[in-house]
Amino acid sequence: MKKNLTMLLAVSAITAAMTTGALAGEAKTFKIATDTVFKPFEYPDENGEQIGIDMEILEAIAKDQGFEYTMDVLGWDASIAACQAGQADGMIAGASITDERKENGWQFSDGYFYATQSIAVKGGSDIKGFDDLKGQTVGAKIGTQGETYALSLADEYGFNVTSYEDSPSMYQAVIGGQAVACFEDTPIMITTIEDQGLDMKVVEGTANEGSPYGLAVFSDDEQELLDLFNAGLANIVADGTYEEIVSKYLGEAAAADAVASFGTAAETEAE
Amino acid sequence: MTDKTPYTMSESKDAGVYTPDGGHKSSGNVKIHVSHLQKVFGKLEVLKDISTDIYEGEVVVVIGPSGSGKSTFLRCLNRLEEITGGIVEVDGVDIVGKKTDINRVREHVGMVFQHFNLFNNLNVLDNLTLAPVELKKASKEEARSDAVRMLARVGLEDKAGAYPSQLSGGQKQRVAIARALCMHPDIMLFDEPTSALDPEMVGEVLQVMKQLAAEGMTMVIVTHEMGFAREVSDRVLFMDGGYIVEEGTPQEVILNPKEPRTKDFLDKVL
Amino acid sequence: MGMIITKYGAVLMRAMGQTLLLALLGLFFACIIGMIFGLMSVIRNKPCNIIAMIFVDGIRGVPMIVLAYFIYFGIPYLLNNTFKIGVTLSALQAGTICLALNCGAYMAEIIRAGIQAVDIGQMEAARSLGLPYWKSMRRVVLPQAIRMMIPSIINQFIITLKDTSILSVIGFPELVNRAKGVVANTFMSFETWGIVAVMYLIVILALSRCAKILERRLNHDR
Repeated sequence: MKKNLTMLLAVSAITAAMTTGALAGEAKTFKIATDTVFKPFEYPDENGEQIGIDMEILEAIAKDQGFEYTMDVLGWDASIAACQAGQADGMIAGASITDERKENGWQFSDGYFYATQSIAVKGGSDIKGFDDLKGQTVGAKIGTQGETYALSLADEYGFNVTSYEDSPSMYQAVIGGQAVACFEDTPIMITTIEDQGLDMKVVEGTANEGSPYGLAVFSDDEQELLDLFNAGLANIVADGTYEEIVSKYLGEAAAADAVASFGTAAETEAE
Repeated sequence: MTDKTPYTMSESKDAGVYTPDGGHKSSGNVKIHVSHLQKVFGKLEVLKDISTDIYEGEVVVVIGPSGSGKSTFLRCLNRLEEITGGIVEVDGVDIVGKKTDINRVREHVGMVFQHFNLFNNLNVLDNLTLAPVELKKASKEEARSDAVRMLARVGLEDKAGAYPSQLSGGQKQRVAIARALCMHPDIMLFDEPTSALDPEMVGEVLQVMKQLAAEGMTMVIVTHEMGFAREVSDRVLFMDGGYIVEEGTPQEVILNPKEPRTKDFLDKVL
Repeated sequence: MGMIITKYGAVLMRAMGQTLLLALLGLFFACIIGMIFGLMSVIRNKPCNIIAMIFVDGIRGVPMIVLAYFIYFGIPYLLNNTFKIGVTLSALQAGTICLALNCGAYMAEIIRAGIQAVDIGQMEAARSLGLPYWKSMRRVVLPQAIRMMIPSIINQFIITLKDTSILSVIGFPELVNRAKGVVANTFMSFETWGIVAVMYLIVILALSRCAKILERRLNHDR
């Protein structure tokens, strides 16, 4: 009897320790999914290591909040499926926070980057704005805010939208002439054009209001992850780590804008 | 090479008309002239040196063991097999000649195959009218009435609408003969026409062939039917190893063979 | 799931329409290409045989996704930069060419095998009557060959219909391409792909059904 009691106590103690550990977020390792290439938010470096703004922000937040996570580079479509299936706890892949996604049971963290969408054209192109796109074909990437933006303008300005599966195909189409312009997130296009030395330019004055990116989770059980992310995000913005990271990938001016936009992003969320 | 063939026909057409003893039908016109015919498949020399003439109205039966080249010989006569060497002339036309339209030659040379080869996608009537209509030998209506006559001739007028798969072997072969006759050929080649038939159906086919022979058709027949050969043929060719080993009237070749190889063969089949 | 159907049903149906349009165009030209190269491989003509063999082996040796990239991006690039001819292909044009070539190569093989499966005696009998080669082919051999080919051709049609999804990579708005858009908008992965699977299934079952009826009809007279 006594022996049994000791046993019971021991078991309770272990269980209690485990539970507290889990509650404190010390023992749990989150599984995070991400896209393969969404430069400069996530992409492999020369060694195949996945780097980018998303990767570094999450790393900084995890360090700040003291949680562990593993990163699975699944690609965009598979990341969505993995979260739905419970194979991943959340995804960070430059996913815009939209009402439609939220209506379908997804939850997002606070916005961590505020992106606008614009068009880019071939270097020598004389396209100055949407009016010049009449009767032409433009490219976009399937399922992106750029595509949504393009489709919202297609009827009004009379152009066709061809949606490619990945960014390289979309840029190739603009350079090869299959499309006269492409729609994508402004910072992404600026980085890509610069990095790849593409003969393209972003057309000024074509940006929309934009929307913030957030970490996305599918299940209510993942509230903990969102809380940790939000708390950590506020801290790294406050201590300058965030600006440092963005500056590394997009330059100081863009980083300053990004920090400044936090007020705007929060407002959008509140609406 | 020639010395291996002890019994060869004279090589030039006018060197002498071969008149078999019972050759009452031979009017003297050479329908098919074969001279030093040679046929090689890859490395295999199937026909080594064949020379013979086939006369108008003559019924020639070709016999010999399997692999002797008798079918190949027959198929060379309408160039179903490309000829390696030598000459084959049909009605004086060199069938390998550069200017010869082999299709025109074939219109006059009917052929009946061992496996019938009726067009499986067409019914009996269409089997018979296809070539005459396609080759503009007759209008559709003419070809049809002609076909019905030919079917009556082989005793199958009631099968005009049937498909080949619905016929017995004997019926198929009679249709095949009628099909060849619809082109109004003046020579008919038969390649083992009864070998693929059940025994009870052999008679009906031979009956049709006898009737054709009686009407004076020039016929070259590869067959194992010795009774038929004896009864109907004017001349028998015995082939072995790519040569014509012996030829003559059926009485000579079948009843009194001179060559040991002929005797050997006949001992096995009779 | 209901939400996706009400909100995106029209989008997906239109995409299915595009899938069918692309498949039909591709199959139409594939039949022509397959017939040409299939015949080229059976006729007695060495240069023709070799050309047909190179075509079939070449196309079969390249995955269709690579072929799609090459036709859509590569050919216009080559024409523009090497020959200074400013030509671009629309996704539909490039997709049709790609499917026609790919399916055409397989069709050529089906047609070659079908023709060779017809007993040689059929051709010989036709030729022995004085019918020229092509007439014999057209009136006797091909009708029988096509009858034998039908199951393989239907099978190839179904494969080609499904292969249209590969052309999503060149931005052709077929079903998979649009479904990816729906997934991205709604973040409803399984629901969307479930609907897409059912849509493909319905179309392919209908096609198989028609094929069965056609096959029975053709075999009626045998």
